[in-house]
Amino acid sequence: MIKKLCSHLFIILSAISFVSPVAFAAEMLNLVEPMQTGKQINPSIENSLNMVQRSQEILSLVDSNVTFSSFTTKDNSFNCESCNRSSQAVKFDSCNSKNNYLINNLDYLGTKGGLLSKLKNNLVAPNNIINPECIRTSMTTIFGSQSKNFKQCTSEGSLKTAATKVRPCVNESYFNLINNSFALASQCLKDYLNSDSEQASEDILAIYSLINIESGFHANAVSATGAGGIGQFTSGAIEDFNHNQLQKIKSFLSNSSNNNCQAINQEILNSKIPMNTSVSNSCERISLKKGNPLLNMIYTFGYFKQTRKILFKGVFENKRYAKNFSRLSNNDQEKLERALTIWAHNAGAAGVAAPMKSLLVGKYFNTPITDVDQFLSDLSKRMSQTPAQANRSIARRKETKEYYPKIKENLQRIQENTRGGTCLN
Amino acid sequence: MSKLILLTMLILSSSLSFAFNDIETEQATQNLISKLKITRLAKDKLNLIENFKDQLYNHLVDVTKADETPENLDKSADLSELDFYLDVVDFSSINSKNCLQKQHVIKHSSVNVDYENESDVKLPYMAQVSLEIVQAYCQGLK
Repeated sequence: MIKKLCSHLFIILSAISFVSPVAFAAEMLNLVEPMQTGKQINPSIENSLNMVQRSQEILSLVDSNVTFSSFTTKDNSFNCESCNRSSQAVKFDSCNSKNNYLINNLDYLGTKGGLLSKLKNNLVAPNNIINPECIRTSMTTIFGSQSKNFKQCTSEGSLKTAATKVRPCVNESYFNLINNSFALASQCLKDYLNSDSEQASEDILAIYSLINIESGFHANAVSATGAGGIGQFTSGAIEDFNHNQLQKIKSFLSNSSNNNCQAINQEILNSKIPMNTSVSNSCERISLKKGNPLLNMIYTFGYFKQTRKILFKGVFENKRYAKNFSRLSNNDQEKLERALTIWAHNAGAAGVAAPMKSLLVGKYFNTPITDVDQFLSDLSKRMSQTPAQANRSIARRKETKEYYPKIKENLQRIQENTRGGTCLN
Repeated sequence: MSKLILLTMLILSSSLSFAFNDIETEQATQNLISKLKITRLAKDKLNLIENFKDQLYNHLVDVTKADETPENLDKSADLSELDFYLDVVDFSSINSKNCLQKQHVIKHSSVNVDYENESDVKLPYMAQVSLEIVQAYCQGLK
């Protein structure tokens, strides 16, 4: 008994002495949620262990600056020996009985021999448009290792009844699956998003920044109200994709000269409705067996495209506001549309357009926008002043006002701490 | 009795929160819907819509430029939301075959909120009004 108490005390003390400087460093970096300092630590063993684990994650992040450098190569031959060696050199989480629950599903993928299995085993490693170091930063810093925003679906069914879990550990095969899936989705849908290659890359960076906040790139992230998966899909957004984007994306992929892009059609989007809208089938939003994380990523890309199209039609095409956009360069117009599309992922297209139009006829009446950042800052205020009806609660006013600035700020922090200062390869 | 009055007031206030904050636009919308239902030619229907959109825009400018009282801010939000839904629907391209499709555009461009229950999912009032306008536009379209 005394031995047990001593060992517990040792763990707590070591946690306090170990965490404080790292927590301070982490807060300085501002990469993680605010951590408790030594003074405020709740003296529970679980909490202390959690702090130690998070500190180790931050330390591994620092290490990853070195170990990931080989991933950032523009070399297409990702199955090369040196790449596999460097992949093995990356420090991954050590899993335990609480956070290793996705491993079994990953093992199941390994036996199927399909596209996801290949992605997991690095047998298909597409050219990364987004630096893998940034994906790893998302996976290990947006949610703490003890965060309970995750679910495990043992069978197809509702997320409501699925077991709540802590954040899954990021081991090599899980990281490979996530990173390679995003790389493949980006590669296959880049031209679908934007005909201008440079702008398409910026669109993919925008989608990265959005997923970073929505799920931290975890396939099984679930919100309190049931939005699920990589892009945190709600029933409405799924319906929108199924109705407006599914066939278009299928058709686009079927014309691809890349066999892996065609395999997305054959293996991931092969059923009539790959992701169901109903809450009773909401496990489809996160289940690996259903084709996630790749399925949810494809939905996120398509929803991005659809929302942008609606915003263009509902705001930019209206000749009454033409003067407002008359002095924007092509680059700035793209930047503005992209920012609004990210915002609409949370606020909805109408949720962005209503305050925007109110701003255009108010402060910007007959006045061209010359500074996109200033306009977006003004729009943030308008989000809480003149929100669309469904965003009028105090909580939604705050959430929608802060959504885009938070995404922008997080991306900036990640990029500042990434080799080369950008997540774009 | 007092409980009954309180309950009635609660019901009234909750239903009002989904309605227009602007009586003038509410009446203009009802007037438009009535006219659209009895008009047959697409060209005439389109004229009615364009006139309504002009009125709506001018009113939006006036309301937004006026003092930023909570009432005016709510009116500005409502009018700009309605203006958006009507812009999303390209009325000039509506025919009797694609009417349902046009209504879907409104449904899908509304606010993306994740609700606790499926039964909580309600179409925002301005989207409902816009849907009524599209339905009236489609009625008897030649």
